[in-house]
Amino acid sequence: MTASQPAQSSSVLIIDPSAECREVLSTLLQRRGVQTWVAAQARQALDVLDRHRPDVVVLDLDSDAADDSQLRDRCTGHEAEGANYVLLGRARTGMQSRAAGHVIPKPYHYAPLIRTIEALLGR
Amino acid sequence: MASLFVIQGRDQGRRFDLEDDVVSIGRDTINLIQLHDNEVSRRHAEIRKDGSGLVLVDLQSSNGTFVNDAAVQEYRLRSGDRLLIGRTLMIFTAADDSSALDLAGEADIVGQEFDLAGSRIVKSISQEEGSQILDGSSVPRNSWLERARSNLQIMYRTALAVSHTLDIDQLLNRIVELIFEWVEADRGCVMLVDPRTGQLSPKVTRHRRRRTGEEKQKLAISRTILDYVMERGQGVLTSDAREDERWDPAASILKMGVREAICVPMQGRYGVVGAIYIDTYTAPGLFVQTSANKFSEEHLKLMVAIGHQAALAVEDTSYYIAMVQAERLAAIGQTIATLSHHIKNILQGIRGGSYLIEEGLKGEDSEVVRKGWTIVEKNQEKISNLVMDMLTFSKEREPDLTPSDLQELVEDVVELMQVRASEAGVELVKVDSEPIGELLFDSELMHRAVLNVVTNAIDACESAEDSRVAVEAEHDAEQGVARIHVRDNGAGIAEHDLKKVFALFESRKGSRGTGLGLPVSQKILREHGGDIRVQSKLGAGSTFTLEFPAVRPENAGGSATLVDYPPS
Repeated sequence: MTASQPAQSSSVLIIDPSAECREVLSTLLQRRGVQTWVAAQARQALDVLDRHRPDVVVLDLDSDAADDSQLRDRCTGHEAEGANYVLLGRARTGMQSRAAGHVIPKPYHYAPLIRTIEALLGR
Repeated sequence: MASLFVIQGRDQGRRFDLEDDVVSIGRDTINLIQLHDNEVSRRHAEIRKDGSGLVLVDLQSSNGTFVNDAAVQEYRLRSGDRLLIGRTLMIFTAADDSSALDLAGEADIVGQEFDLAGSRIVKSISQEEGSQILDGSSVPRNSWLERARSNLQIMYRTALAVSHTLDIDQLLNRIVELIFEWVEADRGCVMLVDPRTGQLSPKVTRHRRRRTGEEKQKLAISRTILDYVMERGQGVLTSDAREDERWDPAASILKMGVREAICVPMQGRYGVVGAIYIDTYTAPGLFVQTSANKFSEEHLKLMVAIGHQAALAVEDTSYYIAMVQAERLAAIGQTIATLSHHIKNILQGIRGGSYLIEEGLKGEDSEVVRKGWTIVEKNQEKISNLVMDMLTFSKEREPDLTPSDLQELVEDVVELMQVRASEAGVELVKVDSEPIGELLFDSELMHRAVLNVVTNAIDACESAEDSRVAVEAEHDAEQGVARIHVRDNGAGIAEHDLKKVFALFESRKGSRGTGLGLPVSQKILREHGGDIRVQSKLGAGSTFTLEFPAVRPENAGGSATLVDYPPS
């Protein structure tokens, strides 16, 4: 297996209220052999987190989901969670700790975002 | 919440809320209240929460902290206090001003039956009669009374003249005009203190008609007199400046040939805001025929009073301007923030679409290119709509009334929105109704108005089952109006939100809505002499009705005019 080939276990959950953003990011990741789930609401997101345990979670901070306390607890690491978080937008107080290195302000470019996700997936 | 409002200084118009337990004031950026004033120390003072109140503490500043003109080390703030820090003057307002309530317990307005001490009305005067006291035709001839009356009249007119204006220059002009009406001054000038430099600068000057043969001279004002007035806060009258010992060291008066001058400070509530200067001018070497003084002590007293009145008006006006400016800045800030947010989202969409196109081209995957292109196109449409709404909202314009077909317009909108509707899983239909024929309206604007309402209806339906939006145009010949009904079976609008649907930047659609659509539609309908109504039931859907006067091209006469609305 060469480095450019996808690792079988890679999976990403995208939580974004914008259908366009979900579509773009999941298309880009799928083309790189990454399995993706998308969610617009906190409930769907929590469901995916529990059932599929994705490696990376991309969370849009402007979404209503980002205001959900349960989801926020997972992002800040109060509950043990295996995933790495990438937060899009401006991080609010209390959300930085876990995702400290991975807050990407909006509007973002996709190339660096993909690189960040790939790095977190260990590629 | 308690607050400080800057009414003088470089930060004029800013309001600082005092919500933290300790609010620091100073020139440094670390301060919660940063003042852009060189006379303010880096860390100048603090306002500390103490029980129920707030205490101002000076932090050993170089220039001191002043409250109501007195230097303070520690001071418990009360509503209305004036804080002077450096050159910055601020007004303190306490969080909860209950003084009005306290008063209510001390005074009673009693009914007719409660005849306290058998009081009766002895004489009543109407507003008009009150003013007549001042013109005084009925007052007996008595020089003292007459003078007093005439002075009172001047003060009354000054008070009237200086109220209700937002333009300081206009205010000062009125004051000078008044002064010239009753004093035989040849020249007059009003100077205001520049809040930045602390120097006086002339704002209004006025010359009475020149005598023949006399050259018009630039009004030069003696600095000696001005300094005296400003430093001591006193008005001065110089009947013959050359003989007055007080001016001895300065040669300026002699050079200018001043004979009589009055200079008074404009003493306001918070300090001297300027000075008023009037004089009767005689050029050096010109023979003076008049022997009696033109200016008397009475003139001086009255000028001092007018100066005070003018200063109060100047202060009120600057305070008001500062408030308006602060509100305007806040509104601009909110507008920019809201628009930037929408533009940012659109930009994000375009970046995503373009990146997909790039990726698709690289990998020769036309499916990915197509996906990207659709996204770019949609966002292009979004920004175009945003710009059009912004333009429509910002411009006051008369609709360009041309004969147009309302049914066709509705068909166009329905066709245009089909893609968006089907993507949202919403059935969008035009309800067939009687042909209307041509009416006079601005088809471009009306198209936008209907489009925005239909877009809204589709968005309202998005998560509903079997969702449907129906658009219908009708002509009510009896009422003389045309109507477009947009009915949806979507989420509906809660009672308390109904009032807000036409408010600018109020969107319930989250990041999708700009909060511009419905206000723009409403504006367009109102420009047509009509309006939009909305009926809604939570969970059952909404109906928006766009209504405007129906004018047939043949009935409009030579030029198109709007008829009265609503039709009687």
